[in-house]
This record gives sequence, C-alpha cells and structure tokens, in this order.
Amino acid sequence: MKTVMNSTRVLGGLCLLLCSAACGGRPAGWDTAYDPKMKEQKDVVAGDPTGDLQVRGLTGSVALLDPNRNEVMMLTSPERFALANTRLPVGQDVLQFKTSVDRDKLFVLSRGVKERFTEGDEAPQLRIFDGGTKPRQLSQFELQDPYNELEVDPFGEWLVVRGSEGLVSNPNELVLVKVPHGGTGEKPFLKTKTLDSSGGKPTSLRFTSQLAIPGNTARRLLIVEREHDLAVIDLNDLDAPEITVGMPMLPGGDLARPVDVSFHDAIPDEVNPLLAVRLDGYSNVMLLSVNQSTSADHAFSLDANEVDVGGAPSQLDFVQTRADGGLRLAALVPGKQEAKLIDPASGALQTVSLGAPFSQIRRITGEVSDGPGQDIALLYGDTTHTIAFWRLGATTGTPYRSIDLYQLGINVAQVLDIPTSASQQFADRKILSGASTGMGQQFYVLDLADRKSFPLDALKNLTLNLSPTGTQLWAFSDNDGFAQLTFDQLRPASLYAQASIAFVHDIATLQGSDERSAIALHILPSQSHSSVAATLYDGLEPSTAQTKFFANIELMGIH
Amino acid sequence: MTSFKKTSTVALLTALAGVALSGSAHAATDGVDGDADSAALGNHQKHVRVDLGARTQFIKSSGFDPFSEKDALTQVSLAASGVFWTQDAASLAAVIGFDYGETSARARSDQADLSLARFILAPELRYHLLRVLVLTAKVGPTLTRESAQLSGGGFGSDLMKTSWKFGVDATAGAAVELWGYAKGTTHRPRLWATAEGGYGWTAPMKLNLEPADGTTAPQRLVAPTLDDLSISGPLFRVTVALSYW
Repeated sequence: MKTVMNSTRVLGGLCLLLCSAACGGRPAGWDTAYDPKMKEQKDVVAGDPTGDLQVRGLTGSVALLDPNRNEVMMLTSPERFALANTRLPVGQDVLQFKTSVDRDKLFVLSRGVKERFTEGDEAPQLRIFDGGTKPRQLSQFELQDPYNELEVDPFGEWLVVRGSEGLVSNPNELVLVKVPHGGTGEKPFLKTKTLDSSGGKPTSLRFTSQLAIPGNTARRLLIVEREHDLAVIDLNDLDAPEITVGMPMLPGGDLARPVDVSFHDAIPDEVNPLLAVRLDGYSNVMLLSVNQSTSADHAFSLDANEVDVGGAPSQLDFVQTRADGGLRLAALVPGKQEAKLIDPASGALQTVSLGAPFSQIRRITGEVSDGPGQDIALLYGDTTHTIAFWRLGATTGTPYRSIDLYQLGINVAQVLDIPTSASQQFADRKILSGASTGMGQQFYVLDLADRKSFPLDALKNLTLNLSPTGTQLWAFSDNDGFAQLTFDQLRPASLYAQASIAFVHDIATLQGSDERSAIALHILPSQSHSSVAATLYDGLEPSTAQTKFFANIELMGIH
Repeated sequence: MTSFKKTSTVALLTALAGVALSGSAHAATDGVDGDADSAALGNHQKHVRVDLGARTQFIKSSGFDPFSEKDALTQVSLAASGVFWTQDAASLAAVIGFDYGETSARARSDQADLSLARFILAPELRYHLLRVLVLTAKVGPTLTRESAQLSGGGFGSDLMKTSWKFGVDATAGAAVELWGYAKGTTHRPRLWATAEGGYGWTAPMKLNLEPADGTTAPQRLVAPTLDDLSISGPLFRVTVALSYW
C-alpha cells in the first residue's frame, strides 16, 4: 500500500507540474486587433493622396501605421507580384507620420507614455526610417517632453519638432534635428533652441536654401513666423541667438501678422539675399535684406523695408526679369487682378494687369529646358478657370503682351510638381487639379515646354498620387477602380481591384530599375476591427488580369 | 467543448489524487470477494480495456500561437486495448487510440480555429507492481488530421488548410485499479484510473492557407505566411477505464 501511495503522489505531482507549464502564453501581438489610425483633421492636407489614413508612399516601400502594436508595417516588393512586410517599432501613440520631400525617408513622432511613473515607461521619441527597398531605422531620438508638430525641411537636411504637450509648455521651444544622410558621414544630432519672445508663438516655419551671406560663408536660415514677429535662425550656427524682426504697426494700432515668407539668394553686383514677408490683410509687404554682420553674435544682419502694393497680396515670389539679374518681388493682388513688381533695390513699383484674379504664382523657369533665361511663371487661382504663363523678361517693357492666358475647365486649386529626384524626363509637366466647372470631373496635365494643357476626364473626384519616378501618376477613389496615367503618351489605363481602395502607390523592387510594383491598399472590415489587404500589379504595365491579392497583411511578421 | 474538456480534466485529476492520498479505494473492493487470491493476477492483468479521458499537450510552436492563447491543447482521449501476451507480472497489450480537440483564438482582427484528430496504434508494455497497480510504457506511430481556419479578413472568404501528418507518441505511466473483485478469475468489469506522460511529435504542417471551397475569394489570393504548425511537445493523459475479460 505504501508503494501505491508513493506512486500516485509522484503522478499527481507530475500533473501539477505540467499544468503550471501550460500557463505560458503567446506573444501579445496576436491579442491586439488591427485598427487603422486616422489623422487628426488639422493634419489632413488638401491634395494629400493619403487622405486621413496614416499611410505613406515611399520610394521603395509603403509605410502603414499599425497603431495598436506601436509599429509601422513597411510593405516592400522584392520582385513583381511579391510582397514583404517589415515591422519596425515606432513608439507609443504616434502623433506625426511624415516623409521627406523625396520620399526616401519616413519620420515618426510619438508621444510615449503620457504619465511616466516608472523608468520603464516610454519617453516621447522621434524616429527616422529608410524608405527604400530595405526598410530600416536610421536614427532614434528621445525627447524630454511630448511634441505634436513636425516640420520637414524641403531640402531634406532638417526636421523641427515643436508644439510641446506638457502641462506647462513653451511654444517657442524648437527641437532641431539634423537628418542623417548616407553619403556625407555627418552624424545626426538634436539641438533644442528656445526663442526669445515678446509674447508671440510660432505659427509657421520656412527653410531657405543656401544663401550667399556677404562677408561670410553661405548658410541656410530658418524663418519662424510668429504672431507679430519673425525669428530668423542661422542653421549653420545653432548656438548663435536668433534675430527677431518686429512686424509693422497696422493703421488700427495692432501689429501686423506675418503669413508667408519668400526668399531669394544674392545676385552678384545687384542685391544681397532677400526675404519678403506677406502680412495678413495688409497691403504693405516687408522686404528684408540679408546683409553683412554688424555684431559678433551673428553671421549676418537684416535690414527691413516696407512697400505698399495697393491691396492685400495673395502671394509673393521673387522673379528675375533677366537671365543675369533684374530681380523683382512679384506680389499678386487678386482683388485688382493685378501683379506688382517691386524693385528691391529702389522700392519702385510696376503694375501689371493680369486679366484674371490669379491668387497663386509658381516659377517654372527651371522646368522649361529651353527657357530664355529670365523667369517664366505660372499664374493660377481657385476662383478662376484661367491660367497664365507670365514671361517676366518682356514684362518690364511690354507687360500686357507678356501674359498668355489659357482657359481650363477647372478652377486650379493645386499644382502638383512632377518628382524629379529619379528622372528629369517630365520635369516640364505639371498636374493641375481643382474643382470642375462642369458636371464631370477633370484634372489637367500641363506641358510647360509646349504650353499645352491636356484635360483628363474622370468619372469621380479622384485622388492623385504621383509616382516617385516622375513618369506616371495614379488616380483613385474609395471604390475598387483606379487608373494609371503615364506622362510619355498621356495614356490612361483603367484598372480594377477586388476590394475598395484606400491608397495606390508604386515602389521599386529589388530587381533593378526595370521592374516596379504597384500596390493598391485595402482596409477591410473584419469582425468589428479591420484587416489590411493589398493587390499587387506590375508597376510599369499594370493589368487587372495579372495581379496578386495579399490578404491579412496585418498578420505578416507577427511572432 | 472547451469547458467540457476543462471539467473532465479536473474531474479525472481529482479522482487520481483522491486515490493517491487516501489509498483506500482498493481496500473497499477487497470486501466484495471473500475468496480473493491476492497472489493471482488473472483478469487484473489479462483483459480488454476501454479508456476515456483527456490528453493535454504542451506546444511551443510559434505556428500554434494564432490558434490558442495558451501553449497547451487539451483533447478528449479514447482508447481500447487488449492484452495478448503475459509473462509473470509483465504483459503486452495492443492499443488503438483516438484523440480529438479544438482550439480557437483571436488572431488580431480575425478568428483562428484549429481542430486536431489523432489516431494511434501502439503496443503497450505493462508491469504489475501490485495486483492493482500497473506501470505502463508505450511507443507508437500516430496519424493526425490537422485542420486550420482563419475567418475574417473582410474579403469574403475564410482561409483554410487541412492536412494529415504522421507522428510518434512515447509515453509512460501507471494504472490503478479503483474498483473490482480481488479474485483474478472473475468476469466482472473493473474500474481503472490511468495517468501517463511523455512526448508527442507530429510532423510540421505548412500553414499555406487557401480560400475555402465554394467561396468568392479574390483572384490569385495569397494568404499570409504564418509559421509552420508543429504539434509537438510534452504530453500527459489521464483516463478512467473499464476492463473486462
């Protein structure tokens, strides 16, 4: 009997041991449903093809936020009709999800744990990712406080993080981050800069290109527009104090508010670098000349001048009226259907009648390969279905003959540039989009070289996404149809998917430049949550009959 | 099904523990047959036995994770055995067994289901330490039908994969006669409790799921690549059994 008892006790103990072993579980990722995170309304930019979905099209990948797992899914295509998902951590509670202008990098700003009671609680972070065919994290910065704004330098060198969300925050605190670049060997770094303030807080930031500073090395400036002044930061010397420029007083006694800043580099023997400030609802524009330094603290000084253009301008831009100079500040005054050309050296004004209430100006000189040397500008506006080519060289003498008007079927609200980082082939094309005046929907492809505009009819109000190659675009809506438009022959190809489309983009594969994949992304309802699917097409010659449908992408890479 | 499995497992463990701690169950059966020959094994050893119980296996395979929140799978276990050779306290029985179990879990936004049906055919070596206590050891091939299903995805079709996989179970344990006439020649049934532990290995199954038949799945659908499902790991089984000869 003693043997029986001993044996059964051993078996009972073994069972208990095995039961305790069964308590092991699976990775927590399986218990986390996928739900897409939508952008806050203030972060939805008009014309952004991603709409309110936290997705970004990059050069070699499509980045889709997986917010419940604090990861980004980097969808790549190793070869045609193949899809891979690289999961990379992004930090908790993502606030900003942006790309570089060239779409080769992804920037993610996260809040972390709001109330950090333990050392292990995650801090706010900024992470930078390579958006190529082999996605990886390039840099990670831990921030002292959570910030909710991320400004991206259009020249790809800097990021500015701002807009602290702490209990008490200083809106004039800027975190400047040097973006890593592969070839330069320069290490990324972060520098916090607190601006002096007389009560105002930043509203907008503007990065200049390299400016030839008199008596010093060329350098870039960061112009911080605040409620009633500008703060100009020397990006080559972040330890130097910023230069604050006060705004003029309005007739009512209030200080003017800056709403936009334009810049132009120096022209030898003519002008120093210039900044032009447009003021909210005010007919005066402010011209700032970047001059030689007058103090040991700064590498430059600023001298201000005001010019009245006779009405509140809608946009300012510098234009050259000769190949070697003749710089003027163009101010569009749509209320008078006029442009004013200001000579920055003398302040002299010349009025040019435009014939339509153009509110926007875009220099297209660089895009016209056989340009005459002086600037050519495209004029457009969202209250007119007319566009104009404005040849600045002829303007000074014969202003009326210098403007060529063209009628379109749409009021142009947006002009999309063709990406040129991969190819200059179609640099002389622009995409014009806006509200149609007729029953149907249209967008236009503008050939700047031949001054031709090609209307493209669309059945629906489509979202346009330009390929990073600059050779084609994708037009899609939220149903299951979309179109590819190649710029060489302006040949649209209608395509279909087998689920509703959230985003369309084409990416490079690992097989070289001759092979690309197009991804139509689907966010599908699944048992009270969502699921991610994608249809893959040939990125160059897509066909609805040659696709692959990848289901349950949110499960890929969960371990 | 899940609650049934849990309940039956607990009940069986409780019964076995009761035997272990009290040691009185067999004493009660001694009084049934006054002419008991305590030295003769007789039908205590040579009999046909039917088992019903639960089999729990611990599975660390990452391919199992979508289907279960725990690293364990409990199955209903049925077995029939017949002793065909005896020598003193040792005997050999042929065992045919069947285990069935299901597990379900949320796989992120989807529902993941897995069902397993396993057949085993094996010789079992038995050694009577006492007339009412038998040590057992068994090694035998298994054939398992594994059926995985992923529901949801929002594209109008479930994803499935069903496959038959060979494997091996190797276990050792003990059986205790809870109730029965002490006399080895009686033809009355006997009640047993068994427990065994060991290791079960089943060939891995590639989870290359495909749309369920008859559904309108998108053309040229590619299901997500999940890790291979390997139903392998330590196992234990507890049963109650009736023997008869």
